[in-house]
Amino acid sequence: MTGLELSHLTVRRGACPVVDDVTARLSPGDCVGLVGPNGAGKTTLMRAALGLLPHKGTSSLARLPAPERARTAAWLPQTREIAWPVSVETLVALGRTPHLGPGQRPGPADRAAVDAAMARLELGGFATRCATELSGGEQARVLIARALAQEAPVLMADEPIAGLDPAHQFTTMALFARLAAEGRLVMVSLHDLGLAVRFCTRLLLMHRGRLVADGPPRAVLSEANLAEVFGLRAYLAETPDGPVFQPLEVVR
Amino acid sequence: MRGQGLFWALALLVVALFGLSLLIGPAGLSVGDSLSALLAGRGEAAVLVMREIRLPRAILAVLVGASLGLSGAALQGYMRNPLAEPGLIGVSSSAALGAVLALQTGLASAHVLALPASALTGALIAVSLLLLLAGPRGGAFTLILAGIALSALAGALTQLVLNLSPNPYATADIVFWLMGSLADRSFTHVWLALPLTLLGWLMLAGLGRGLDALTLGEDAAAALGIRLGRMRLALVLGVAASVGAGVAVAGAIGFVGLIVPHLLRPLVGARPGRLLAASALGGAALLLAADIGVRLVLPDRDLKLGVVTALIGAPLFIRLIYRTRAEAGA
Repeated sequence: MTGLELSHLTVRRGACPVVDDVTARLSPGDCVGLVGPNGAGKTTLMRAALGLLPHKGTSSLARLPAPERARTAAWLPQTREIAWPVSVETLVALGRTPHLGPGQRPGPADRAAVDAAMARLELGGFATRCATELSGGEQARVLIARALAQEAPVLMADEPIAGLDPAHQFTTMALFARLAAEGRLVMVSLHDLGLAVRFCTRLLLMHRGRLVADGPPRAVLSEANLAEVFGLRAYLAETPDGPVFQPLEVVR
Repeated sequence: MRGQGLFWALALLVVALFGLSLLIGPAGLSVGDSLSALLAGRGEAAVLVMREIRLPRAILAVLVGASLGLSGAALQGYMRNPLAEPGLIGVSSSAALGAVLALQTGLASAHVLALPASALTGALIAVSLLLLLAGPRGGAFTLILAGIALSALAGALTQLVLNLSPNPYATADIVFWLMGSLADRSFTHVWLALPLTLLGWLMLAGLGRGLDALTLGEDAAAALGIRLGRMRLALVLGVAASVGAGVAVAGAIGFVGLIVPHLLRPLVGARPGRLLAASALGGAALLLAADIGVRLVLPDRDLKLGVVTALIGAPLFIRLIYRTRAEAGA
C-alpha cells in the first residue's frame, strides 16, 4: 500500500518558513484536498513532499530514488506548460518516461496505458491533434491524461481546476474522487471549497505555512476555521443533493 | 515510419554532399581522376589534393556542421526556446577570444596547434564560468542570462584586442579568422577536433528523453525522474566540447545551430529528442552545402564560410518570423 508520510516537513525561503513543521499521514483511497488562502504554502508543501525542493524533516516520497519516485507519484504542476507543438498522443506518452529503461522504446504495455488514459479523459479523437493548438480546458485534460498514463499509485495535482469552466471543474474533481475510490492516493490543492466539500474525503487546511486542521471536510471547514483562516462566514449544510457550501460575507 | 524515412533522407543528403564536396576545388580535377586518386592513390599531385586538402575539408564540414546542428537542437530543447543556439551560452565567442589571443600574440604562427588549443582553452574557461554563474540549482533561465553575460564579455574582449592591435596585418588576420572558414585545413585539424567532437556528441546524444520530458516544464520533468542538474552538466559540457572543437579549427560559424533545428522541427513532430539526430545530419548537410557554395560562387576570392551561412541563415530566419507571426494571427 502506497501512501504518503510527512514528518516535521519544513521548507525555508531565507529565514522565513514557507512550510512549517507539517506532519501528516495520507493513505491510499483518500481524495485529499489541500486548502488555504494564497501564500499559505500549498504548492511548496506538495513540491517538498515530492522531493523537488530542499527541505528539513522527511517525506516518504522524497526519500525514494528519482526513478522509483516517478513510478510512485505523478505530479501535475499548476502551470500548464506545453513547450513544443507536439501531438496529443506524444504528450500523453511522456507519462511513460519513468517506466522506460535507458534507450528502451515504448512497448505494448506503454501503448495500452496511454490509450487508457486518453480514453478516460475522452481524448480519443484528439490523438494526432497538435497539443499547443487546443483550448485551455482541452490542454488541462491532456496534461491530466499524461499524469494518468504514468500509472502511479499517488497523484498530486496543484490547482488542476483553476481556469476551467464550471462543468469541467466538476468533472475533473469527480474524476479525481473516482481515481481515489479505485485505491490511489489523490492529493489536490484547490480554492473552490464547495467542490472540496463535495468530492474530497479529507481536507488539509494550511495557514501561513502551518497545517492548522486535518480531517473530514465538514469538520475542517468549521465556523471558527473559516473565520480564522479565510476571514469568511459561510453557509454549509448537508442537502439531498449532497453538501452545499456558499460563502456569505467577509468577517475581517 | 515517417521518422525513419526522414533520417535516411538526411543521411543520404549528407553522403551526396560529402561526395560533391570532394569533387570541387581550384585544382580542377576530373571526376575520374579525383576518385582514382582518392581511392586507389593514382596520380601523385591528385592524391595530394584529394587526401590532404579536399578530404579533411569535407570531414571537417561534417564534424563542425553536425556539432552545430546537434548543439542547437539540444540547447533549444533544454531552454524550451527556439532562439537558443550555441553562440547564446558564450562558448563560441569565448573560443573565438582564445583564438584571437593566439593570433594577436603570435603564438598561432609559432605552432600549428597553438591556435586551436588556445580556442579550446577559451571554450573550457567559458564553461567553467558558466556553471559557476548559473549556480547549482539554476534553471534554463539563469543559464541563458549567464550565457549572455559571458558572450558579451568575450565579445568585448575580442574587440579590445582588435582595438589595441598595433599591427594592421594581424588585425586583418583576426578579422578573417573570425568569419569562419574550412579552407586550407589538414588532417592535423581533423585529428585535433575529432576526439572532443565525438565526446561532445556522446554527451548530447543521451539527452533525448530528458529533453522530451522538459516539454512539460522543469518541475514536471523532475517529477518524471529526470535529473535536471546532471542533464544540464552534460548539455553544457557536450556543447562546449563539440562546438569548442569546431570553433578551434574552423572559426565562428553562425546561424547553423539556430536555423537547422528550426527547419527540421516540423518534420519530427516537434519532438525534441528526435530533433537531435535530425539536426546533427541537417547541420552537416547545410555546412557541406555552404562550403561547396563558397568554392563555386567566388572561387578566387576566398569567400568565408561564416559569411555564407549568415547570408543563407538570416533570410531563412526572417521567413520563420513571418510564419510564426502568421500562426499567431498578428
